[in-house]
Amino acid sequence: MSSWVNAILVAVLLLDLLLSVTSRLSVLIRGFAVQAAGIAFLALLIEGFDSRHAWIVAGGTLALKAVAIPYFLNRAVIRTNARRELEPLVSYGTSLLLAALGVLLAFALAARLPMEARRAGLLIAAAAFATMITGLLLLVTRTKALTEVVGYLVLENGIFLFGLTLLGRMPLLVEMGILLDVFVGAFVMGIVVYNIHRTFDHIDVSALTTLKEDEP
Amino acid sequence: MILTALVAAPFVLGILAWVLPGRTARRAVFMGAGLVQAVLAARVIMSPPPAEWGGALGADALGLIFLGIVTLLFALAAVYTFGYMALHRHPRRRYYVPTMLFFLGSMTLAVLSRHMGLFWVALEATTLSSATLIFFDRSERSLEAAWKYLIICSVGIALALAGTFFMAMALPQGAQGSLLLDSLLAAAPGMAPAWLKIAFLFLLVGYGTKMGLAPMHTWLPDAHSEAPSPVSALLSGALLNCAFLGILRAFQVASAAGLGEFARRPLLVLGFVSMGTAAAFLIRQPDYKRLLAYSSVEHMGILAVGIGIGGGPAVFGALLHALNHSLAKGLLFFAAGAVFLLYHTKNVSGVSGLAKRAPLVAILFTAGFLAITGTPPFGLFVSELTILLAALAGGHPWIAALFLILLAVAFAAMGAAFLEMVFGEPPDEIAPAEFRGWKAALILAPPGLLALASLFFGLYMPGRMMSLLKAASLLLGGRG
Repeated sequence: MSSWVNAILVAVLLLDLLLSVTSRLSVLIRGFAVQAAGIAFLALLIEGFDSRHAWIVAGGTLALKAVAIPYFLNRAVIRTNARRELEPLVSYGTSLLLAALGVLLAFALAARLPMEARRAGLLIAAAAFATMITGLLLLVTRTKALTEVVGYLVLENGIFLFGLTLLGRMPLLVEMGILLDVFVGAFVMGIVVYNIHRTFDHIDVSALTTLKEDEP
Repeated sequence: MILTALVAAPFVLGILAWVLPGRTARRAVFMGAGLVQAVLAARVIMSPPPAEWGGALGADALGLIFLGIVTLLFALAAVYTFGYMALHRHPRRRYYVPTMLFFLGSMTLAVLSRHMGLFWVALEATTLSSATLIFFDRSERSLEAAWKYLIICSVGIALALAGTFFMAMALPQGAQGSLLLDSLLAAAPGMAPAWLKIAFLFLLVGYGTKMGLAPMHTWLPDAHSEAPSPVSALLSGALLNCAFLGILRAFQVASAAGLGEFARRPLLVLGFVSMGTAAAFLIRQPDYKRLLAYSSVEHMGILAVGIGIGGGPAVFGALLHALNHSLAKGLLFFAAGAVFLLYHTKNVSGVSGLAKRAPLVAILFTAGFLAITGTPPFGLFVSELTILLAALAGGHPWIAALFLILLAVAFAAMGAAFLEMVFGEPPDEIAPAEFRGWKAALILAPPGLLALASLFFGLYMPGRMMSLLKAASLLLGGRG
């Protein structure tokens, strides 16, 4: 059992690196979806297959994050013709380097915080931190609106992975609320991105600067 | 039951408004919702019922203060919307009423929730429902504002979720861990300080983003100025307070764990950074709705400073300030909407001679200005003075001095803009709008009521309000 958990966590970490170097939006979305699916499976592995609570959370995660959100995002990619992130603020090489540093930082952070005898090991906290850092990296270094949406979702994946260590302690209502919020969030963001595309003919958010202050 | 009803009513009515055909029916539902909510909330405030949902939904003094603010502003915004939309050249949008109601429902859930996870769900729901209200116009500017609002606040709130989870990690071994506020407070003395500290910082930055504390405030001026005026009033007057409540909940837990001192310092720093940033952008601000938005950043800073100073009187002052700020800011955004209808511009330089063109609007606008800058005898004067005196009494003369200087800068900067707008000759190229009759009455009554309330609370404080504020400041570690 535990070897499965570790294998999935390593896969989550590798996906973080993949997400930080890919320029293709479709790969980015798929990477996010696979990561979410892995986290859903983890929920079952950690909580046990006989827990109804875990099945509901895993099922919800799978349905919303691994299927519904990628579906909507892919439609947005097609409708806005934004297949690649062409102008990241840092090169993909630097991006990979930063993501790798992020993984190191995540391990250092996880090792420093008291985690005694939690069912969560060091690896689960490290993978969660690394995924959060990757999400933040995507958010600050990319300029396409859709990439930023994926960045937000990856950040949320990391937080949810962290939340897994607490699973069973939170009311189901709250966990489903979190999932629903993220889903509706991605949906509304998709609508705004589509409208930005229709209005500006691009979804490059670095060009959204009308509302800057002229004079401080 | 009544708390569940209070949370559920807006969602049910929202769905009803969604499926009902016809504008009149939707509007009836909208007004009805404001009224029902006001009646229910008044009952809850006067005699708080026991907690529901296994303690996750409850009404403590802190929540009740914010419940009062949210409900009052919403009811007035519902009235105001009638007149405003009748005169506005906006396209009519079918989703406006349902979305406003979902927005109200999420805010109500946020102020009543006594579970950190549930609170998070509610606050993120407020972001999602209000975002669609911000790009009501579908103009380039409103799209940009909605995008910034969505992404910045969602990321901020995601960090708050991480902070919430960290707080659960801080729970002592074996403690039946739950994120219910009561169990967190009970378990707080045994919490792991390392986790609790990082939890507080994440919650502060996360909810601080949504509250509009600088330097995470960048979305706020855009969102508050691009939204239609009734929505702006709710965003500034009600929603910012809901986010503030999130920080206060985190502060409650940190205080109970003996980390009050640790928690106060970053609040003080963020508070002053917000007041300073706002003062800088208030000076010669060319857009009057952005002026009001930056003023919100300033006042959120004042709230953070009040909690940051700590001690009974300062915390009491901060909570009173939250209440008074909401009244005055609601008044100002409602009045600003009237100004916009009269002049069709948001530029300070495009508005002059308001006193001649529309004396009633000018009176309300001026009253709002005097109220928001803390001129006696308005309520904000009392709360600002309370915080200032608390800083002096606590032996922080430098804090008091800085506080006073920043308030003076804001006063001067806002005063310059208001003088320019209220006095002078009205431009004759714009024909006066059909700003009269029942439409004008519906637009002017809500800010009129708020102006009176703001004045009233500066002169007299009802007993129930006093007892709630005292009880709430006790919850936050103040001693009476």
